[in-house]
Amino acid sequence: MSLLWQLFVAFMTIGVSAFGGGYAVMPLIQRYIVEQNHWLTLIQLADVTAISQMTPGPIILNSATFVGVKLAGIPGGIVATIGSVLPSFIIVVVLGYFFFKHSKLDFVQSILKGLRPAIVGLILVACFSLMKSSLFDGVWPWHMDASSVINYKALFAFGIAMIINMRTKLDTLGIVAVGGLIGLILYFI
Amino acid sequence: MNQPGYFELAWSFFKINLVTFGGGYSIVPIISKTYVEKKKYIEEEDMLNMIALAQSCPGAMAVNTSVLVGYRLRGKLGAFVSLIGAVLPPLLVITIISYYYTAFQENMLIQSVLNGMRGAVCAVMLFTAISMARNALKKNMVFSGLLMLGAYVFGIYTHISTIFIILACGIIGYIYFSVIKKAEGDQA
Repeated sequence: MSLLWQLFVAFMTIGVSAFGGGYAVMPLIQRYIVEQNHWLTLIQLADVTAISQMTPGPIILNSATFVGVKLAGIPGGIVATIGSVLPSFIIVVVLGYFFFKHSKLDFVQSILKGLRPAIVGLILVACFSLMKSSLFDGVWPWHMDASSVINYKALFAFGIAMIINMRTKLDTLGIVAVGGLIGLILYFI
Repeated sequence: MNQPGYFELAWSFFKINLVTFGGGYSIVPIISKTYVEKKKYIEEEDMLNMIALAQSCPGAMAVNTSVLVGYRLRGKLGAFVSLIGAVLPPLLVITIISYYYTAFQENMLIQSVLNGMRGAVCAVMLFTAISMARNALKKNMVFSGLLMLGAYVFGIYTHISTIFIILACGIIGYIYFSVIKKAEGDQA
């Protein structure tokens, strides 16, 4: 079995079993990539996790690209990425078809009325945990000595971005670019 | 309903996925800012429905949500171009980084730029998440408020997988609106 095909199958298996998203995928990567195929060491897996925290994109796609490129160059990265999204793409489109067809049904509407506020609650969870890890060192400043956990660069960019958000119609990419620029300027100050 | 072109879909999901730090739910306010508030292609309720569905499918939620929005707006081809737009940023970024990753992790200049970018993403998320919370409370305020609070508390203080939290809230919604409210309606 060629290496590219093996990569494809391994990441497809991870993609189809990754429910819940985010870090729920880490044990699967450990099982199929580290233990079964020995494509990464545990230390490299920790590096991939660290890089994923720093860069945009879901952790499953980041690790697919990282492992694929490391083993088989750019074609490897592409094949592993395709493998990891193929099952969910098919499932999402099929479920989406039935959902959009039947979403007007009474009982579906009742379920959705329960789901929507829950989703908003979970978005708030994600929002606050990202703030905790990005603006502070993973600890809210009122739990310990504030000056030791505050990330001043991120906090300053956060404040400016908040003002831009309220006052202008700049899109997200533009706001994030401004944040990057602020980080760049603060590095030299 | 307004419709985006295929290129617009792919390009917008490319941009959105390029700035989505943290994965999972963090992409939702960012998609919502573009598609609900700014371009008004989708109603906010509809957006939340799609997120619930994306969460119920395996795979990366950011990609699932992108695909579903593309499918909703422009059918199967729309889903496909959104998929391409969504997977390209991590593919490009990580391909480059995988060649230089020790330098990348240790370079203070890069770290400083990334810190600024993450701070800005937090602001976009917080801003949109608060407006979503206010909108969600407009109808059935007590019921919605309790479920939102419950999901938040379980999400932040327990390790229960979010899929079960969603499932439980769906069941509660069904019981409340289709069983209890209906019975009350029949009596009156």
